[in-house]
Amino acid sequence: MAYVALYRKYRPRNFDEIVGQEAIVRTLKNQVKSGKIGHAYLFCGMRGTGKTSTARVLAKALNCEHGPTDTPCNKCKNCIAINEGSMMDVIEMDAASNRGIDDIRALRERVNFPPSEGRYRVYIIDEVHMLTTEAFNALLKTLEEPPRHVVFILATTEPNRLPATILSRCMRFDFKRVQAREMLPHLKRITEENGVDAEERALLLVARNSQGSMRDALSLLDKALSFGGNRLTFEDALSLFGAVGDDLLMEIARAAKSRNPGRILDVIEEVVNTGKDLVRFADDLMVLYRNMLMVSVGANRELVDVTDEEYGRLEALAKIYSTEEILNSLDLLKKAAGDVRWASQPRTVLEAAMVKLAMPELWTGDAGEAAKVKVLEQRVEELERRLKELLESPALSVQEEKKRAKKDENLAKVKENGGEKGNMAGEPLRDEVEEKSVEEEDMKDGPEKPEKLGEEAARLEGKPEVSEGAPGEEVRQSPGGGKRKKDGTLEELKTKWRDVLEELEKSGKMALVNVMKECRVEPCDMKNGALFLSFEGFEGHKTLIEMQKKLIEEGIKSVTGLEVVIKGLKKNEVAASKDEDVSDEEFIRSAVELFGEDLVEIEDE
Amino acid sequence: MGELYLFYGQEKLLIMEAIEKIKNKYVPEAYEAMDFQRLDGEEITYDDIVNVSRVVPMLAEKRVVAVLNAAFLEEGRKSAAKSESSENRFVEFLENTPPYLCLIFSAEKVDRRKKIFKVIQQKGFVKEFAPLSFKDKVRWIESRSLKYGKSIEPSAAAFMAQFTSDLYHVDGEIKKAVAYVHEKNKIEKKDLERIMSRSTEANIFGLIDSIAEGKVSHAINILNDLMYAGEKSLVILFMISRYFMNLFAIKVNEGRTFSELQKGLNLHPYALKKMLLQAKNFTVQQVRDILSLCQKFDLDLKRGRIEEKKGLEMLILKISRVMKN
Repeated sequence: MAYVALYRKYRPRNFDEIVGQEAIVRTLKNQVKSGKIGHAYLFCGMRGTGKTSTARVLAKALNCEHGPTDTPCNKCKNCIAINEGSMMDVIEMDAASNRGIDDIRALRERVNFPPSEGRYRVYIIDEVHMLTTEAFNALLKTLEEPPRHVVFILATTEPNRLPATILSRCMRFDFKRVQAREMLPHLKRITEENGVDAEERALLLVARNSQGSMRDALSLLDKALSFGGNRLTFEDALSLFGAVGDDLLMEIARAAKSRNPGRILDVIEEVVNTGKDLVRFADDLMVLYRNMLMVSVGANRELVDVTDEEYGRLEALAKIYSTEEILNSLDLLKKAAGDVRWASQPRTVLEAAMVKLAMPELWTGDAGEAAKVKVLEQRVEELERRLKELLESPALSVQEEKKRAKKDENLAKVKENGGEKGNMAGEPLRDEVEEKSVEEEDMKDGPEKPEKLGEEAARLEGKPEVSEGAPGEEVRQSPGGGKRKKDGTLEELKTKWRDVLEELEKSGKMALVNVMKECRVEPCDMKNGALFLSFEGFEGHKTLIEMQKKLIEEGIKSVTGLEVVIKGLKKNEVAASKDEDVSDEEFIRSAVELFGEDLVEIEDE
Repeated sequence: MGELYLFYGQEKLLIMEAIEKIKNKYVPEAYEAMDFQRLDGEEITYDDIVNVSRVVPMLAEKRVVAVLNAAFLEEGRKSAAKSESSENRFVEFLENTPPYLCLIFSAEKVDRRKKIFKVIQQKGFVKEFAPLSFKDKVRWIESRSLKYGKSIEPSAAAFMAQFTSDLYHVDGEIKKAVAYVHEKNKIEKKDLERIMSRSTEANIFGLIDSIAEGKVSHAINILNDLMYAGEKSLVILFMISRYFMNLFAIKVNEGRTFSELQKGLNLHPYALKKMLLQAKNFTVQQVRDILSLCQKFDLDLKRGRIEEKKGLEMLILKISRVMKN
C-alpha cells in the first residue's frame, strides 16, 4: 500500500481521539446521548485543531447503525461509508470552491429530501467564511427554518468574517489551540505504534513547533521520522528545526540577569558553531522573554505553551526579573531580531545586543525612562532649592555662590558620566548625529550601520527623539557660571596641545588624532572652562570629533590637569568662506556652466 | 373577521416563538402540513398572500398564514407592491379578512406611515420585540435555563448576558452549557468560561475596559482570545488608540457638559459615561504617553519589526506601566 501521511492515517475516528478539545467533545457527546441535537453548528478554530474531524465524528455518531451514540462503532456500513467519504447523507462541501449563490441554492433544493440511509442528513460546509454575501443570505434562510432531519456543521478558521445573523443562528464551538503538553501523549502513542524509539524532549519540541496545530505536529513528526529512522533524538529534532535547546536560552536569560556577558558570548559561539540559524535563535529568545513576561504578569497558564516542568523553570526565571526589566529586554531583543535579519554580520549584531542585554545600564540610561527621569528629577530638585534660596536671601555673598558652583560641577559630572555610558551603547550617538545632518551617516563606525534602518523610525517618532540629545548638552552648559579660570590657561593649553595629541595617540586613538591633525583642530578660545576648538574641513569630520569630545576632554585633563568642557568647534575663517558662503548667483552660474542653460531651471522657494 | 398580527423588532427569536404559540393554538401538529403556511415576505406579491389566505382550513380550527420578513412593511421598500391597485386590493382584503384566517406578519423594521401598517394596527394586533435590556436578558437566561432543566448561577447568567449578542446566540449558548454540565444541575460561571463563545464585539470592549482599569493579565487573556478568533491586530490597535484618543478629548475638555461631550465625540451615552469614570484613572500626560506608545507600535508593526501578538502584549503592558507611574 502506498504511504499515507501520518496526519491522514491518524485522523480521529471517534470523540475520544480528538486531542485537546475536552469541553467541546464533552458537550457534543452529551448532546448526542440526550438526543438534544442542534440543527446548526459552527466550528471555529485554527487549522489543525480538529474542526473537520470533529464534524465527521459527529456525523458518524448521528448516523451509526448502533446509534445515535457517543461512541460510533466505525464498523457498520454507515460509519465505514462516512470514513470513506461515500455516505449519501453526509454531504461535505468546500465553500472555498463552491462559494456562489447557485451552490447554496442547489443545496437548499436538496435539503428537503429525507435521508436515504441514515437518520440525519449532515451538511459539512468547510471554510464557510468564503461564501459570498448573497450565498450567506440564502444559507441563512435555510438555517432559520431547517427541516428536522438536517444538521448543518459549518467550519471556519475566521469566524469574524461571518455575518452576525449566521453567527447567532448556529451553536458555536471554539476549538482552541492544542497545547504542546496535550499533544505529547498522542505523539508518543503514534511513535510507539510505528516502532520508533523517540525521546520525550524531541517529541515535545515537535509539539511546540506545531504552534497548536495537530496536523502540523504530525507533518513535522513525519519529517522527523524520515530523518532519524528508527530513533528520534532530541539533537536530531533540534537540528531538524535549526533550533536551540531551551536550556541554552534560559542560560542566557540567567547570565543576562547576573551581568555576565562573557557567558552569553560563549553561548552564541556554541550556537554559531553548531550551525544554528541566528535569526531563529533571536526569535526563540524573544519567545522565552515573552513567556517570562506572561508568567510575570500572571496571565492565563494556557497562554504559555510549555510543559508543567518548564513552566516551573519559567516561574523561577521570571522571579529574578522585574516586569519592567523583561519589557526593556524585549524592546532590545525586538530591535536586535530585526537587525539580525538584515545585517551582513548577523553574529556581530547579535553579540552587541547580547552584551547590552547583560549590561542594562549601557542602554537603559537612555532608552529606559526611569534613569532619564532620575537625572531630570535631580536637576529639578536642585533648581527648586536654588530658587528658594534666591527668594529667601536675595543678597548672596560671593563665597556662597562659589560653594554652590562647586556643587553644580559635581552634579554635572555625575550626569556626564551617565551620558558617557550612553555613548558607548551607540544610541545617543546616533541621535546627535541625527540632529546635525542625515548625510553624515556615512561617517559612522561599522557596527552601527545596521541601526540605520532604525533611524528613519527614530526621526519620524519626532520630538522625544530629538530632545534626547538635549539633556547632555544642557548639562555641559550648567557649570558655565561656576568656573572662574584665567585666560592664561588657554595659552598653557595651546603649548601643551601637542602633548595632548600624543597622549591620545598613546591611548590608541590614532584615528581621532589623525582626523584632528588633518582638520587642524586646536584650542582657539576658552571662557569659564568652556573650550572652543578651531576646525577646518568637512562637516562629517566635525561630527566625528564632536562625537569623541569626551575623549579629548579626558586627554586634556590627564596632560594639563585642567577640567574643561569642549563647547564646540569653530570653523576657521578661510575654510568656511570656501565651503559655505557660496551666493545663489554664483551657485546658479556654476550650475549653468556645468549642465548648460537648457537644463537648469531656477525656482524661487 | 379573521385575526391579524404584526410582530416586528430585532429579537427574532421572540417573534418566532410568538408565531409558534399562535400556530400551536389553532393548528395541531398533525395538520400542520395542510393548514399552516409559511411565506417568505421578501419575494412574495400581495396577490399571492391573498390567494394563499383565502383557502379554507381543511382540518384545523383556523388556517394560519405567517408572512416572514415582510419587507413591504419596511421603509422605502416596495418589492411586494408591483402596482398601486394590487396594494389597494390587499388593504381591502386586510380590512375584511375571512373569519377562518389567522394572518401573521413579521418584520425587522416597519414604516408606521404605511397604509398596510395602519390597517393592521386598526384591525389586528401589533407588537414590537426590541432587544432586551440587560436586566431582562439576565432574567430571560435564567428562565430559559430552567426550561432546559438546569438552574444557572446569577453571576453566570450576568456573565452570559454580557458576552452574547441577540437571543438566538444566547439560546445556543444555554443549550451548549446545558449539554456541557450534563449531570450537574446548576450551570456555574466556570462552566461557561470553558465552553462559551463570546461575541467579538463584547470582547474588544472587554479588552479596552480591562486596559483602562489596569487589569493587565485579564486584558492579555482577552487579547489572546481575540487574536485567536482571527481578529486583525490593526483593528485591535485601532480600537485601543481610538479609545485613548477619545479619552484625551475628554481630559482636555474637562468642565464641559455631558451632552456637549457626547455631541462632540459622537459616542454612545453609555460608553461616554463609562469613559468619564475611567478618565479619572489617567492624567492628560499619561494619555498622551499612551497615545505615543500606540503610534510607535503602529510604526513597528507596519515596518514588520515586531510580531503582531507579541507587540500587542507589550503595548498593553507598557500602557499599564505608564498608568502606574
